[in-house]
Amino acid sequence: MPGYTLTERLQELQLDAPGWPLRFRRQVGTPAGLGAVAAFLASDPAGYVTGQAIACDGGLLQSIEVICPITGSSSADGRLRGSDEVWKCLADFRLPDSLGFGLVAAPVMYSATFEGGQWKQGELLPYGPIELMPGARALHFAEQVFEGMKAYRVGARLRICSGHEITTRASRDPPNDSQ
Amino acid sequence: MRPVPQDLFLEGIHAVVGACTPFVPDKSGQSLYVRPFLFGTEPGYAVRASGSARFMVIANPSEAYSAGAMKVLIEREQVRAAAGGLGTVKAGRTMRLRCSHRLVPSTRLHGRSMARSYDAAEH
Repeated sequence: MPGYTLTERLQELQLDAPGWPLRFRRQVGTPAGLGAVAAFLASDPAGYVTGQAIACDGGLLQSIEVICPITGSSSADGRLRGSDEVWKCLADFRLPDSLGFGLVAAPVMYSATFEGGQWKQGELLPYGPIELMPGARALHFAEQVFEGMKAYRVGARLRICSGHEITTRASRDPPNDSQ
Repeated sequence: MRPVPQDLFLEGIHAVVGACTPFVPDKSGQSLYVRPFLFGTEPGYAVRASGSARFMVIANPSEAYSAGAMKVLIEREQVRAAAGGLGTVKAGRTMRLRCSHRLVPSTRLHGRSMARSYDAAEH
């Protein structure tokens, strides 16, 4: 799995141009480095290596451990409390045999709103429709950003890939905020 | 829109993933796909940042996005990224090329895993 790799294409795009974030300029790998990983996997000595995804990304793909699994009536830090509805949804949910990608919704969702100049306390809710004013900017000016990450089971623990990178990115100004 | 404070972002991730611990699939290639997103909720047509916003995290127990041999459509007519542009941003506006039936008709995408487009200067 490559990170930002200094290919001819990236060189053409001039990484030191003002439009590129600093992290791209500082954290790039070489095609030879990535090629060496591929060559190793294709080599005879690697014949016993199967089914692996090897990151060659300068540490970009860091994972974070899920630290507050909700097991009772509140999260481990006591701040987030699920309603009876939430616990019922969780208790009733069954993982289907066929998943697809993004087709099966987890039974709960998190929501927090920014109003009056501040973020309100977030809450865990049963997964379901949300209310949105028809004039909302998300619908008319695509004022919307998203991320995607994957949680895996590693032994008895859960880890989220790319968590560090994404968390940092999400906390920066969204690109349309200068308007 | 206001950026999401790091603590709030992590709280949402941990809350959803933590609550869904029993539903994180563990077969090869499977994962709990987590989708945090932020959108402007203030109504109005003035072209400025929304004064209100909502941050949400949803999740999907999922298979791998794609598996096996991959066929890719190289899009040479429409542009996603330009020098100094926002093509690297994960936002609805930068993904439209892949999602629009007008820009990339499904007949052209048929049988391919994804559409790839390149920069505005020289494609």
